[in-house]
Amino acid sequence: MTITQAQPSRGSASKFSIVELSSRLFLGGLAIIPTLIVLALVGVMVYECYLFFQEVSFGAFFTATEWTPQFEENRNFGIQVLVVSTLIVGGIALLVAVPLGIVIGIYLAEYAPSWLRLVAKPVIESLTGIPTIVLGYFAFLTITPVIADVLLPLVRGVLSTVNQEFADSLSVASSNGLCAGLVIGLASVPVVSSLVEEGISNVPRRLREGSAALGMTKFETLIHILLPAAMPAVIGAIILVASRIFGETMIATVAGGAETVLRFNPLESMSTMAAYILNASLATPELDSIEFRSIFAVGAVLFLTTLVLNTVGNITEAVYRHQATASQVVKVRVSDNLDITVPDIGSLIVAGQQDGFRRASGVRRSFDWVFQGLAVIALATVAAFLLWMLGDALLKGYQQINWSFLTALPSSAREAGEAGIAAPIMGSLWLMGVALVFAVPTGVGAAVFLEEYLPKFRYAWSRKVSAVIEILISNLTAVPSIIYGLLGVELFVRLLSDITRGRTILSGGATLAVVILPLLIVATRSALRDVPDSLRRAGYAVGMRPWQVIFFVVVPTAFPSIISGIILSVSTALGETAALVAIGAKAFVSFLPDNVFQEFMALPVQIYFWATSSDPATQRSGAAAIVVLAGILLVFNAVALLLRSRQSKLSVL
Amino acid sequence: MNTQMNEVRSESEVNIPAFRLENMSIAYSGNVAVSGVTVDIPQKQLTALIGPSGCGKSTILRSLCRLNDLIPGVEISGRVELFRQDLRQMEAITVHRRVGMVFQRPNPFPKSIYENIALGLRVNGYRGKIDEMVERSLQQVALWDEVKDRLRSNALNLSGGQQQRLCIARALALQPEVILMDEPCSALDPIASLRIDNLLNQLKQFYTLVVVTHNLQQAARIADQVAFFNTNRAEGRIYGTLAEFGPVVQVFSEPQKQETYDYVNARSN
Amino acid sequence: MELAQDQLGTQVKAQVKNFSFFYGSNKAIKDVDLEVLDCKVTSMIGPSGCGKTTLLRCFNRMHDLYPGTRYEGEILLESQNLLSLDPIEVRMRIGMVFQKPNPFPKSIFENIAYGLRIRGVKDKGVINERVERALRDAAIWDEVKDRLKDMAFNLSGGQQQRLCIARALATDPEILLFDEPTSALDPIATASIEELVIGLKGKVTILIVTHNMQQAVRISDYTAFMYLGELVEFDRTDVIFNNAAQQRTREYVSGQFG
Repeated sequence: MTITQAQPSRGSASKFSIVELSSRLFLGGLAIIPTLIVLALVGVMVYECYLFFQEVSFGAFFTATEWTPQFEENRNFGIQVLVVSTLIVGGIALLVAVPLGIVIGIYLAEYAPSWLRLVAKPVIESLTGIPTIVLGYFAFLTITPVIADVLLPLVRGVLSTVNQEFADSLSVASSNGLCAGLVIGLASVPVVSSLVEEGISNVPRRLREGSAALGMTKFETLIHILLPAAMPAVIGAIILVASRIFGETMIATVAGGAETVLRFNPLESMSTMAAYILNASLATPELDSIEFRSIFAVGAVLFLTTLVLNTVGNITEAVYRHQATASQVVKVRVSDNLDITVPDIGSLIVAGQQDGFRRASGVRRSFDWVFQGLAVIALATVAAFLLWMLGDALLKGYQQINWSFLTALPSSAREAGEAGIAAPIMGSLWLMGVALVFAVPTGVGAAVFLEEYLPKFRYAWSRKVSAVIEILISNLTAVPSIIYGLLGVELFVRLLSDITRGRTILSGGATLAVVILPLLIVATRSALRDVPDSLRRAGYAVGMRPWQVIFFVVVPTAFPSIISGIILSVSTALGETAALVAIGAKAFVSFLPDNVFQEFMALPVQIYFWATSSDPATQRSGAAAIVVLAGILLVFNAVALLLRSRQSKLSVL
Repeated sequence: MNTQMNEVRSESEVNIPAFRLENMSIAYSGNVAVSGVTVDIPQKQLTALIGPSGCGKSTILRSLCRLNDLIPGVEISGRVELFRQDLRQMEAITVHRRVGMVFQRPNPFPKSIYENIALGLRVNGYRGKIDEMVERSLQQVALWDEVKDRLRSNALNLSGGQQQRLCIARALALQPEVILMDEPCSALDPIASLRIDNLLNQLKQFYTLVVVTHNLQQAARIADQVAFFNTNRAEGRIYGTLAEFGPVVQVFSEPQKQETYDYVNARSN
Repeated sequence: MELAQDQLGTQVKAQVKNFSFFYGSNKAIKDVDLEVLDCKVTSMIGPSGCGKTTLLRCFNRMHDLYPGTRYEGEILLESQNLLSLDPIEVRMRIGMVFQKPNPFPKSIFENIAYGLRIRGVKDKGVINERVERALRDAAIWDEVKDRLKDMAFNLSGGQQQRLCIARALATDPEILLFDEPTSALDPIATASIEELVIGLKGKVTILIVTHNMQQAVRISDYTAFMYLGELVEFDRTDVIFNNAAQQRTREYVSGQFG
């Protein structure tokens, strides 16, 4: 061996490092942006509401029972009209999503054989990746007819034996709250199921073993140990999904209808708050008109609702995490009592007296089977829904897809069914480009700062600030995208119009960047969190500075996961419809864009316009566009999945 | 019903082994963890399972109460008998009640002290008075005096040693015939573990105890019988076999095999 | 704790003086005095939770990575108090090998070259030479010389641990810290690491935490026994294991508790 202590090469290790300082300042600057977005959102809402309530009285807003902003005379702004519709549609959705989600989540966590979990999880979760406009299209054109033509006669038949008159009075509108609620509910199942599954799986295995060793069945363990321990997670999941459901825009608009009338019958057309915002934005009301401001007033109510729900959900979640970690900490503290003698216990012992217990009966076992049966039915329902939808779009649309459909401009089509999607595809590509340029550096940089620097500073305030920012970001992820659309209108289309030149690709792309920024931050942070701490310690132990550890060790290790997060964010942006409608995506543009200052079309917006057309040939074009969009998303998701599985190999460390 | 029960009781009073393992092997998704174990574990004695890590002693222990059922991919071959009955043909719930288990790290439920013990009684349909049994179990582990004024407080507020005694009480309450323990002291401080040792020395007069430990001194302090498992290598894989089984004095003082001698003397100075 | 003056010729490399360490308000290390001798192997033993690993990590200021930690007293490295130095500088002078092997997700070569580069070594020839020397010193050169570009993860656990030792050796550390380096390894890999540590005696100052008393006997010159955050006894290894002065030490090494 040839170890020499000669010539130690220590390098310069002064306390001050210019790279360290500048990387902190730069990343810290990026990390402020989410907070700025929150401030901007609140500012815009407060400002527009202030102007709105200059003209409409508070009392009228809350007490009026009509919503008629379009009337020249006798305008009424009774928010309860929209609130009632939102509650009805949302209530139906919750009735679907919560039971299905809970049962499926528990089943996947506790009962499902591993092969089924492997198949079922991605299938269920792929529902969250499907753009809501696709679900809306399906609800409107496929589910509603089923309700009207199959379900309604059935229900009538049953009811007529009881009350003929009531049965005859039943009818289903072509857009109705029931259908919107059902589909929103089904689409939200994965949100509930994955949170519940996570909550149940996080209960430490030691507790399961402890209860199994006492002779409890799986179902008994579930009821007595797992569910109580995971209850806050379950409640948190319900609240979070409620906030999503109330903000859901495209399904509610397309399937639920646009009628702003106070009614309680879910078989009729009813406009939720989100749907009203979208429909009103479509009419592109004049800036600063009362109609324009009414959009923001409704937006503010919706924003507040999701904010409150999300905050409550977060608090429950935090309580849960606190409890969960507390239950994992075994207090290994030294006994104060140094007496180690044990009293004579011979008289107390009753070993092996099995007749003190009732025999284990099949009844105890049977709960396991009943529950599994229910869960399999729930799973099958969701899977069937998904397959039906995709099959339906494929069957309707595949004939339309050919080279000219992909390359033709809409204007060149004489016949409605011959329109092409070149302009919307190019528009979407440009939008993605702009959104990525804004969002990726900001999101990744902010995540690195929030994860690797901020909580690790040795100041008392740094952890608190980091906790506050965490809450802000989670609120941002819960804000409905239509609200971001309103922010975009106010901020990019109006305030910065000198730069963006109004309703242009630049404005649209920037708005999409705001939509995906919180998702990117969350995804990147979780990728960084998956890097084992032992690697960071290894870096420090060879004398690296924090920035060197971050850029040489942590980020490269997390890189595949970060990329996969970026891809998933892009697919969200690609399917985003509501925000772009609010910004003013066109239904018709007769050229392909060549710079960012042009007006634009986008693929999902095109689907929206085609789906709501009354011409069957145009509707089929919509199905074809859906197939194209789904194809692109499928490729994206496959790549993301591939990268993530490569990553999981690394984290076996 | 009663006659059947009496049969079981009288049978267990005859001097038959608590467990009989015949050529038992355990594999995790195809990888053999422990192979060809044949041994009789006597009743009303404390048998310590010792050996280097990876020798399969915990794996064996977990399959004696069918806990490996919870883990997918575990295959068990050979025969295991619990008081002459084929363990693997019995219903898992029944096995769990007759064979108690105490784990390496204390794992009380996140519930009250009282509820930790009462829950097992309730789900198993205990016919007696639950309050009485809770008190009696806590007295058996010498915890009653320390907790009797706060039975309703959360079990997680107890110290590590108290939590572990609570877990033993929880197992005792079901009046098992056998109690298995997987390194019950490894997460405890020295005083708390000495107290558990003393408790085990008392309990072994009434119960069959099987204890995995990596601490040879502990094994020498508490065991009647010692089973030494050793690691073997084949094709780059490590698996365990039972190297030697005998009374504690024999294994520690006059081991029959060189490998036992090496292990026992290397570790105990 | 001062050693008897029968170790003439051996110099003190590091000196822990009236040193305490706190997690928040919890005093985890209590008023420890300890001398680490130059080019010897010193082991720290004691039941789990006794503070041996905590003390080890004070030597390269690993606790600085986490908020709420505080040092009191001095750890002198050749008369410089390393608690008042920049932690980066301390870590450049003191190497560490962890419980579980933790190579960087890079090639075998890069794993070692990294430490050199951040110390400002740019010359490729020098880097190549020192990577080879470190791998030879860690007794892994023959096994990896033909696949230096391979990912380090493809090595076996024992090889990864020797790579981590090579990574620490490459930068000529003044002290090399080992935190239970064999607890995640099988017996054969453990034997090779122990052999390696014995081979480094006389060349590097080594401080090693181990839960395996027999390992301490096999490889260390000096042994410190810790209990409840205090240093109970520090002496030559043979003294600690055969003729300890303190009752607690005798009880621990003879297995009466722990």
